[in-house]
Amino acid sequence: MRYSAFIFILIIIHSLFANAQKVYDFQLKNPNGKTERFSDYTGEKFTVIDFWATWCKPCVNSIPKLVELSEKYDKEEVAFIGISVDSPRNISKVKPFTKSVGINYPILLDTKQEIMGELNVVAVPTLLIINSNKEIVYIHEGFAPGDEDVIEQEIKQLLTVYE
Amino acid sequence: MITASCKITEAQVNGTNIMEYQFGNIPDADPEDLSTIYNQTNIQYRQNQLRAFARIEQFYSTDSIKRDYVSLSQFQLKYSFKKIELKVGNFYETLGRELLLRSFEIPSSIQEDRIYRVRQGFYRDIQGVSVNYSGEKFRFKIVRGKPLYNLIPPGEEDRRTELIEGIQPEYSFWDQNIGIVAMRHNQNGTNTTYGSIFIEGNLPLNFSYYGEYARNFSQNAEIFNYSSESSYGAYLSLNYNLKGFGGSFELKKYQDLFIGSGISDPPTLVKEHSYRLLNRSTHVTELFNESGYQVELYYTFSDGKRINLNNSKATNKIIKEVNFNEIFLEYYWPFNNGDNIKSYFDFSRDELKLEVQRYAGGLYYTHIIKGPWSLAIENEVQIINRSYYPGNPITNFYGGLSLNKSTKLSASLYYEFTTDLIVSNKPDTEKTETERYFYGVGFTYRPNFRNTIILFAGERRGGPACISGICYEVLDFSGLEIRWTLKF
Repeated sequence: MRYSAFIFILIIIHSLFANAQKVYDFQLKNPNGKTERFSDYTGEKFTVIDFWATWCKPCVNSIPKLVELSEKYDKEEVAFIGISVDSPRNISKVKPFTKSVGINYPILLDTKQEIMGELNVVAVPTLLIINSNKEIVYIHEGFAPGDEDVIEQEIKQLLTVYE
Repeated sequence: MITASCKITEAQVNGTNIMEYQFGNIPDADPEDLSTIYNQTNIQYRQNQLRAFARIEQFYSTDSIKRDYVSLSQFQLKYSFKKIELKVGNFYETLGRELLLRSFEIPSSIQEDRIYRVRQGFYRDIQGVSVNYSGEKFRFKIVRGKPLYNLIPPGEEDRRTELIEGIQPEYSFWDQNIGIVAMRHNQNGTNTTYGSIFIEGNLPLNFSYYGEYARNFSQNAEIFNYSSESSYGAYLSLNYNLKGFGGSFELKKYQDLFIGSGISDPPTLVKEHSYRLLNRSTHVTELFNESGYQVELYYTFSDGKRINLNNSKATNKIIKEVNFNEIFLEYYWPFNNGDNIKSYFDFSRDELKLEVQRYAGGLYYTHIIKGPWSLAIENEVQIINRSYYPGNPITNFYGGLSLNKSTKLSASLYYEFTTDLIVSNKPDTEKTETERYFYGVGFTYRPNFRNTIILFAGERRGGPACISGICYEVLDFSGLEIRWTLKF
């Protein structure tokens, strides 16, 4: 019990002073079976990563809003990436689904949910905004109507600070 | 101290902590005032291409049968160098499309079973070594390790009694990818050799496909022997997309493909529902003998409306032939002001469960009140006719009402009702209870992106559930539950 209390206190202290988590240059397959690197798709200013799955109800609602949002920015500056965490048993649905809802940004497949775990993502959908230093500067977990405005405001604010 | 070291060496320490406290028990179980706490700490250290990870799980209970534990349940060292990735310790790996091997984790899910009554993280990892090489045209993975039998909780013995050794080389050419899998499984000193071949790729006119054929070679070395004693599996998927339309067609044939304690997990080909009543009524693949298909079609209109149609069939030949059929139709209708309606209709027939007709319908309405405030109303009803059952037809109902402020704050009311005697009738009373109600309230609060607090109070109906392709049993619960998730 003393041991667990020590770990817990350490976590609390660390969470108060922790730096932003850095995203390393991971690699994943795309729906065409080709291996891609995260750095191949990052934006010069910010990169938005959306973790989603075909079976996740709020993800299905959030994706069309993110597609609209992605069209407002130059992808060289603010890039969007979708990471599907569907397991291999659902993976055949990913490509038809992404085409059906009109996703126009790159999709990567994290079938083992390994990158999800390494980026401390605990639920889908989760949206991360990563700056040019590869630091996670914003996390948005879940999706409710109106969240697209919250996310857009966050991007605008980050761009203002950047410039 | 940790923060200081981060700045000096460019290394990073971060992680998550999930703590769940429960006060209560399975309804009508003793004691009613059981108090338990589960904590999972995940810590990772990263410096350039090196990652070290550890998971510590703890469980404490006031139950007289003490099964408390503190366990270093996962540890991993991972090193990536150019196209090579080496993992030592606990890791997740799949071979092919999981016909022979699947390890998994359902993030932030907590598992509890009726026998041990101990809560633990919901994962099934492998402990050993794995090497991955990802070249442009050539890739391979090698894995050697002991899979976890996750029904046995931490602190107990015999959690890893199997050993698997596998290799999977793949080669890409002309937009196609071909690979083979060789795997040896050892349990109680007996070796069994499995192999599979798979091919995937893109075809003209927006078609793509995947096909895999796996079999047990220790039992019968003939590749195309399909006698009833053979052990094999075949899976094929064909996909198509054009503008707003997308479709997938899948076929399966599995015979005696249950490996060891269940390390194989081939595609189910049954719609994975996130709707509450449908998720509970799902079909679980019978790997001793199952064949079938699944068709899924999506169409998104230019104004955002969306239709999803799914039809699946599974046939099991156990003593006699039994079938599972399902047809599911979902319609999503967003309004101009941000409101939306989602509705579904589902008809299924599950002869294995003696459920000859199963109708379900649902209506979900989300209304934006003002700014980030929204109201969601959820209703689902299901009517089941069982062939043997005196209480026919059975009605299940689920209702929910939630008030949300973006995803920061949410307050919900839940209501469930059933006339299913298996659920409603209490075994320790003389009279027959023909109805049962479940009421609950829930709150979610995210003060910042590091913290999430979820509270549930009331009675929750359990039953079978499937998430991310994994099906398991959720226990009924009556009481108070608080979960705190922290990212650090």
